[in-house]
Amino acid sequence: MSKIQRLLIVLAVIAVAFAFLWPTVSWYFFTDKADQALAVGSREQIREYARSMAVSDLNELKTRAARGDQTPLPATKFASVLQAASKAYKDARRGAPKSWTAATVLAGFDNERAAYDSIENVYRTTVMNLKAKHGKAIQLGLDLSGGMSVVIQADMQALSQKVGHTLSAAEKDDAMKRGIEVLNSRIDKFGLTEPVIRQQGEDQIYVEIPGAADPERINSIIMGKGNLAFYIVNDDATNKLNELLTNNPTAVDEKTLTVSDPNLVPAGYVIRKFYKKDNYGLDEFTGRYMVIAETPGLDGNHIQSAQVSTDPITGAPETNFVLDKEGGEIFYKLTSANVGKTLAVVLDDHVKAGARIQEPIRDQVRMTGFNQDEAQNLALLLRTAALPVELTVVNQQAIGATLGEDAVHAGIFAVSIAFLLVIGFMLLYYKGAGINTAIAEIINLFIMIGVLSAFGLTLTLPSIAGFVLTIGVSVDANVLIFERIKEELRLGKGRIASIKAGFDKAFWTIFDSHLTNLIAALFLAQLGSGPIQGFAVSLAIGTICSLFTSLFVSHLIFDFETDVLKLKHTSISWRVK
Amino acid sequence: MTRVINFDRSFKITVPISLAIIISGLIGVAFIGFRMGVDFQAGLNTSIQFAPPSMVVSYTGEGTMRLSVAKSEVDLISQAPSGSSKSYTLGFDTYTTLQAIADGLKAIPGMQVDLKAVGSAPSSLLLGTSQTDSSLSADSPAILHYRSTDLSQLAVTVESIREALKSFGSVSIQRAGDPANREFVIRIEDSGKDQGASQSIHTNLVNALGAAFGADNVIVNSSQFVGARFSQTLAHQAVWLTLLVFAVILLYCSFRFKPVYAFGAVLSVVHDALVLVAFIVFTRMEFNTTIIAAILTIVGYSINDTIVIYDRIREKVKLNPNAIFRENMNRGVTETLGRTFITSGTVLLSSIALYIFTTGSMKDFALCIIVGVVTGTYSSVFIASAFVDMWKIIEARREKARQAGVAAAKAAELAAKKAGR
Repeated sequence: MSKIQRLLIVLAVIAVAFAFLWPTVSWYFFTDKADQALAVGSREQIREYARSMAVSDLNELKTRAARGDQTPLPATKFASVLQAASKAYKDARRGAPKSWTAATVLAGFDNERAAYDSIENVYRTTVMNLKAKHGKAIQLGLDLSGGMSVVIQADMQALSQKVGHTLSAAEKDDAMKRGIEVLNSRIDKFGLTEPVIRQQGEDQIYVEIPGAADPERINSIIMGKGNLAFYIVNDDATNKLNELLTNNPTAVDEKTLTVSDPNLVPAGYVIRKFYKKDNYGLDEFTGRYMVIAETPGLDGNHIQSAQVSTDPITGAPETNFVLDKEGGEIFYKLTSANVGKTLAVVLDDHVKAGARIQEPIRDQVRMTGFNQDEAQNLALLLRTAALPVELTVVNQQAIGATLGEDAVHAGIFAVSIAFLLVIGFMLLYYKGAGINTAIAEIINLFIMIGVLSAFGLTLTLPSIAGFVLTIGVSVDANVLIFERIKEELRLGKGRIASIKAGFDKAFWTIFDSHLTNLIAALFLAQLGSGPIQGFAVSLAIGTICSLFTSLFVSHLIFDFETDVLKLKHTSISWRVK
Repeated sequence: MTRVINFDRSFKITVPISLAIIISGLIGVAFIGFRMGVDFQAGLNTSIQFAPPSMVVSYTGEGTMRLSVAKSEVDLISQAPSGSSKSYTLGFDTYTTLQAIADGLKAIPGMQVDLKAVGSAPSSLLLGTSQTDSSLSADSPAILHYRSTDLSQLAVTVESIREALKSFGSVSIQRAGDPANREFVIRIEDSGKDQGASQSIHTNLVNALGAAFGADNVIVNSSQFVGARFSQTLAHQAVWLTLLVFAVILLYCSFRFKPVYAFGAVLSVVHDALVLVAFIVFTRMEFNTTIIAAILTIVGYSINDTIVIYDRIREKVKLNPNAIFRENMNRGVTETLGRTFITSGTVLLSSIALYIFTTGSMKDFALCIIVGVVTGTYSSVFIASAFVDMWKIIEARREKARQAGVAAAKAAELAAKKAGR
């Protein structure tokens, strides 16, 4: 490989590392605190923010327009409005107006609803982009940011006793999905930061709530079994409500789920939000509401099984479920009395699906009108009631935010000191060649953090320790090469020959030793959860990076000194000239 | 060429020393046992701080207000109902006293502050809030605690806590850090009978402490609950993974070197792990997942070290195939000695930095690494090579015996032939 090629590879790697690192830098250093607080919030909160911002902007636009205010809108306060308006003008293939006054802005939209929608959209997109940036930035582990984590164990034994046979892998998987589904539906009640919920291993669920360190609050997520039930929808009131929302987007009070007009929702009915799964499998509010009966028509514990099949004629997916005998009777009475109305499937106050009742039904129920994914999700949902999974907390951790802050400072300090000590030693001992180590180590650290960022890994205290150790260990490769070069120089070889021989001879040693180290690190990564994994992963990444920088970068620096700086001698030791 | 050091001579001393340490360590594990950390013991581990309230802050304005106290400032973020947000920062260098902080907070629209402590106390005594997102409202005020330097104001001792927690069964209480911090680590065992233990123990603990020392004086800095099943799984996993790492290293080294080298390498690694175990048992260090991580790290480091030395010995064997192994070994180890010292030195430098500048479990971790690096380096030089050397001697003896046997057989055959003739 020519030297130019090698230089290009090194530059490319650095550039890629930088690209991965950029979201981290821009999030932690260039994002306003208030914006950060907004972006880490739940999706529902962000929606609420966008809604209220759009309404207040729109109201101000209307008052300005009614006044006949001809002054241009202030650009900073109305940035989102102007963005929405110029897009509206563009889409309509009209030239932008000479000055952006309230009237010209409003004239850009077909009606008020369109104006509201596009302004809201701009606000939401801005925050969601920020949220995406946060997602790409290196996440601080709970030990650094403060917060709490819970490991929840699904009781597979109890479940297998209930179904009467040992569970297959697919059944276990389904049980885990049901457990997560139930937890998911309670997420956004939670508030200020968005929790992480994911499966861990075969039968555990990991829940993490950054920021909050109050164990009481976790209760509302993990306690209880998830309450699934069928409710009759008041279609008339639902239509009226949605009509009202077209004109007045903030008619529903988000906290209490009520409207100011008491006649809209008849007695015995309540407003509930309608949710769909987003791309991440999380519940996402659709923006639609349903007015449903206060008391459930049928409780979910009558469901015995649920699966997806296809309609033999149309080929459309459908969800089938079977009720027990008692449930069949109740359901028959319910559906007979409500033919033509909508039936809502509700889990913990979240409306998940609705379907029209075509005819009275007993215990064999068929629900249609969904695509394949929706049908699958619905069947899973119904199974949460048919085969509830017992969840117990096996590990719970809450860490105060201040402890985390202290830990970050101590960690950064330890890394810097370790770095300076090691580099200082290398410069003292290897003189000029120590500079190679310094540059290689800086690039090493840089790539390591870049890789960490690329894989979306979490930075924890142990992973900082991993970095510190890697600094020490990765110098090893440099030492091996330098010692070899010194030996060659002692034999009387020239600079170029010594350097080449040094690298060649050290190659397999470095390769073998790094590989075995990597094996140990990768196995370590399998152990348990969280902290050790973070440490092992950073050790593994560090090992690979050190292989690259020591063999590639350091060699290139020697070549650079030879070819460009025209060095004849090698400054590598106090004794060998 | 520099002088070759005859390492084999010291084997007679080093091998028994290592054996003595390992055996005493194993005896220690059997009779004294590890001081198991919270990861391996079902129960609740909390870090609790007792501190009087300095002021009670509430917010009656519109929208929401979030407050957090950091190391050197008080941060506030307000969000109006219209969505627009604003942040305020009260640095301790400008707001030097509690009075100044209270006044600064009052200046923010909608904020109500009720100062409880002496206003002239420095603001740096304020303790950080344990939650990053404590939202303020009229009915849920936030209490800002401070580290009262007057020890008589809130006297808490291990004994008084024990008294308050009498009903909890097996409780361990330790003071953490400076007495003025009034910080304690409290551990309560979980019998595993109650399914909701993770919640109930914590609530009961906070309530009991609140009843004894005043509910406003108790701060939970961190808490960790470990269920019985979790701790068992982790222990099994740790043992299996360690064995698996040994097996994979054995395989890889057998493939890259010869099986005898591989056995030597694994032997030296097992040696390091066991010496570390002895160290942990006799220093009564808390045995937790971090310590397992340290042991496995040392396994990785030591194998790295061993391979570098093996590699050089192998090279020497290739160059002088006729010399006896011991000579090549001594030469190889001597030649890599410089590198061995420098590498161990740099790793030691970084782990000492870690040891000095971190606290708690990371400090223990760093200490294990320091010990491990020393034994790892020692075992690569003295144990791994000694094993191969010993093997070669046995092999040579057998070969001699075989040759002697062959020679004897030949002689006998010759004699027989002669006799037959």
